Amino acid sequence: MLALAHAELGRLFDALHAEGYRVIGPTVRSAAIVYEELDGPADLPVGWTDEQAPGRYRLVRRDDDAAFGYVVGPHTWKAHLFPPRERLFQARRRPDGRVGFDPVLPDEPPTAFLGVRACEVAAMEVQDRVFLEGPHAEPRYAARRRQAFLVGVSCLEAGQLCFCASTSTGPRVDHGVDLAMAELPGAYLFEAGTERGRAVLDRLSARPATAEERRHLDEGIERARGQMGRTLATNGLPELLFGNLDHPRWAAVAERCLACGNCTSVCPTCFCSSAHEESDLTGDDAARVRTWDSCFSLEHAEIHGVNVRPTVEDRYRQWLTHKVGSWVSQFGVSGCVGCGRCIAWCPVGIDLTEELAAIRADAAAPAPMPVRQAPAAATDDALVPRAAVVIGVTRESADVVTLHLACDPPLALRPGQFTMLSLPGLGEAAISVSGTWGDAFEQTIRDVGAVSGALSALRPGQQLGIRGPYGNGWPLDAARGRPVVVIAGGIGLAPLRGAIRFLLEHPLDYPDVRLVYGTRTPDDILFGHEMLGWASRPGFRMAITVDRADLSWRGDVGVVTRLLRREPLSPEATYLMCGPEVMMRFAVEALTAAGVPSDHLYLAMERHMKCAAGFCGRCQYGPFFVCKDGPIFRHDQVARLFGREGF
Amino acid sequence: MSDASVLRVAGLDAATITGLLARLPAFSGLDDAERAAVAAIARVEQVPAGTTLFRESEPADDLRFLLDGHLTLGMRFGGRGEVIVLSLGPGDIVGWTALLGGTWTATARAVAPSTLLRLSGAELAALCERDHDIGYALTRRLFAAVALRLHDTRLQLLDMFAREAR
Repeated sequence: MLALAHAELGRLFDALHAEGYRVIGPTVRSAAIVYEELDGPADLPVGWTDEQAPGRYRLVRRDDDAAFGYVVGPHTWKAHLFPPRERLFQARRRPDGRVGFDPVLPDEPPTAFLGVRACEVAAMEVQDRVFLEGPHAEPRYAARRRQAFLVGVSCLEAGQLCFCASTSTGPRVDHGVDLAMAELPGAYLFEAGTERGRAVLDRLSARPATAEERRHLDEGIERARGQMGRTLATNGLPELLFGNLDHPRWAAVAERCLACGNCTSVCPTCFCSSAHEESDLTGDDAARVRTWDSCFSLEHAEIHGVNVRPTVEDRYRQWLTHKVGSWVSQFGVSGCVGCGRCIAWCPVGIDLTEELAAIRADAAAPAPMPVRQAPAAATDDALVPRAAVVIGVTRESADVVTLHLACDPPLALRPGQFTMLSLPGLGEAAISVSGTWGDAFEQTIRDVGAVSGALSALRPGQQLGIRGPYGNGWPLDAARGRPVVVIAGGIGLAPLRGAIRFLLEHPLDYPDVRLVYGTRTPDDILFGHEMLGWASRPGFRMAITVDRADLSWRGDVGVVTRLLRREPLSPEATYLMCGPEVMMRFAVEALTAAGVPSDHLYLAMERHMKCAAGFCGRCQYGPFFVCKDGPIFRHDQVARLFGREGF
Repeated sequence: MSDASVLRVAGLDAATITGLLARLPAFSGLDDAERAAVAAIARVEQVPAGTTLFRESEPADDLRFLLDGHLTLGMRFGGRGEVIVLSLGPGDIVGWTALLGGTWTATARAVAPSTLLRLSGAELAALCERDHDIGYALTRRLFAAVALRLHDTRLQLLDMFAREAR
C-alpha cells in the first residue's frame, strides 16, 4: 500500500492522463455532487459533504478539506456504461438497393472513473450479470466496461441513508477496481488491483503507507460500518416477497408513491430500457435508439394498448419484487447494493428498507422461487437485425397475412419460437414463427398497428429486418408417446401451427392429437386450407368454434372452452395452449377440474417484447422474462401469477 | 311449434328411455323410480338436418335434450338476418325456457340429423309440482346448466379475440 499527501493528488490526474485516460469523477454542480469530466484535483468537491434523509439531499460545508468526504449523489456510473440514450444500429439503403444494418459501437476515448464507491463496484458487477452473462452479451456495454479504468474510493464515513454493510457490498473497496484508494485526514492511500492499475501507481512516486495509516484505514472502515442506521435483511427475501404479493403494505405504499420513476433513474443497477426508430427525411438513413425506461412508466407494461400493470401498486410491487426478489433467480444476485439513492431522491421519501421490514414483520408463508438458469452467453450482437427477404405472402383473413421469408444464413427454428421483425425508420414487433419450409420460414401477422400494418403490406421481393429466433418453443419431446391436445384461440393458432405439423409428421410418436380452436367469426379462421389436410390424418381430431356467425356457418358457435366439455379430458395428455390470457385461464380451470396435473399444461404468455434478448426488462412476468424464460411456460411455473391482474 | 318433418321414434320402451335419461347430467340426481316417472312423459324424436325445432318469440312448449347431432340457436338481427349465438352438441339441454313458460328466446335449428329426448313442458311442470323431490333435483341440475351457459355467454361478450396480435 502506497501513500500520497493531499497536496500531491494532482499526480494521480497526471498519471491517468499520461496513460491515455480522460478522468470522470465527482464535482459540484447544481447543488449536487455529480460525475463529470475533471481536469484536476481543483474540480473535486473539496470541503463538501452531502446531507441525506428520505426525500432530502443537501450539500453542506465540511470543517476539513476532504475531497471524497461525501457518499453518493444523483449520478451513477451506469450512465457511462449504459448511456441514457444510445444508438444501437443504423439501417442504410446500400447502392445495390439492399438494406444493411450496421451496429453502432462505442467510440469514446479511454476513460477512468475516479471515486467509485464499494457499492458502485457492486452495482457494476450486478449490471455485468444483466448485460454480459445472460443468453446474449451486450457488446456496447461490454466494450465500455472493458475499457473503463476504475479508481475505487473506500468510505470511511457512512452517509445517513447508507446500508451497504447489511447488503455485503461495502464500505471497503476490496476488489473489482484497477486502483483502490482511501482518503485519510493527512494522506491518500493507494493499492493496485490490476496490472494497468499498477502502471498508474508506478507513475505516482508515492511513498509506502505507514502502519499507523493502515490502522486508520481499518478503523475508518469499521467506523463507517457502525454508523449505518439502516439494515436490509436479505435472507429469504425473494421467497418472502413472492409469498406476499397481496400484503396490505403494497397498497399503503402506493398511496404515497407518485410513480415518478426517480428511484429507477438514480438506482445504479436498474436497467430497463425502451427503443425507438429515428430516421432522416430521405428515409435512406434510419437508426434505432435505446433510452432508459422505468417500470413506473405507463408505456413500460403496455401490450396492444392494454397496460398489464395499470395501478401504482402494481408498478411499485413490480419494482421492489424485482429489485430484491426475482433479480436473485434471474441473475444470481440481489439488485440492491445499499447505496440509499432511491430513498434520498424519492420526492415523498419512501424508504425501501422500511417497506421490506414492514412486509417481513407481518408476512404470509414464503413462495418457492425458480432456479436460476445457467448463463449461456452468445457472442452475436443480439440487438442488430439482419436482412430477410419476402418470398411469398399468403392472405389468411381480412387482417392477417403470412409472410414467407428467407434469410442467409437460414434460421434454425423450433415450433413456438418468435422473431423480431422490423422496418427501418418504422419500428419492430415480436412475431411468432408459424412454420418452416425448407430453409424458408413463415410468420403470421395480424394488422393491429403501424408496424404490424406495414409488415402485413409487404410484397414478395421486399426486405425487412429480422432478429432472433428467440424463446423456448413447445415441449414436443416431453409430449412424445402421450395424447396431445392443442387449444388455440384467434391468432394464437399461428405459433402452434409448426407444432401441429411436427406432431402430424410423427404419428408413431404422437398417435392421438386433438385440436380445439376458437376464433371470433368464421372469416377469422386461419390456415383453413391446410386444416383440410390435417383433418384426413389418422389419429387427428379437430373442433372449431366461433364467437358469432350467420346462418351460412354450419360449425360450432360458442366459447372455445365449451368444446373442451365435449369429450373426457385425459389426465395423461399434454395440453398446449396459445390465445388470449382469459381464454387460457378458463381452459386451465376446466382442465384442472378434470384432474389434469398442472405440469401437463403449457401456456404461451404474451408481454411487451422490446429487445427480446433479456436486456430491456420490458417483458417481465413475475420472476420471469417472457423473451428468454418463455414464451411458453409450464403452468406450475406460473400458477401463482397466472390469470391475476397486475403482473 | 315443431316442424312437420319431425319423426317420432316408435317402439322405444320405458326402460330404454330411462337408460337414456341416466346418461344426461340433468337427471343424474334422480333415483331409478324417479327417472321412470320422468320417462313416462318423455319421448325420443329424430329430426333431419334443416329442421327448425322452434322459433324465437313463439310460445315455449317442450324441454329437449340433444342426444346426438348438432343444433344452432339463432336470433333475428333486423336487417342483418339471423345471427347464430350458440351451437349445441350431444348432452346439451335445448329450450330450458319451457320449464318456466313464456316464449322462446332463440330459434333452434338442426344443422345435422339429430336425435332428441323430448319432455312435454306442461307435464314436466306438473310432475315437479306433484313430487317436489324430483322438482328440486331437476331444478338444481337445470339451474347449473343455465348458469354454465350464462358464464359461456359472458366469455363470448368479452370478445376476447378482438385485439390480440401475437
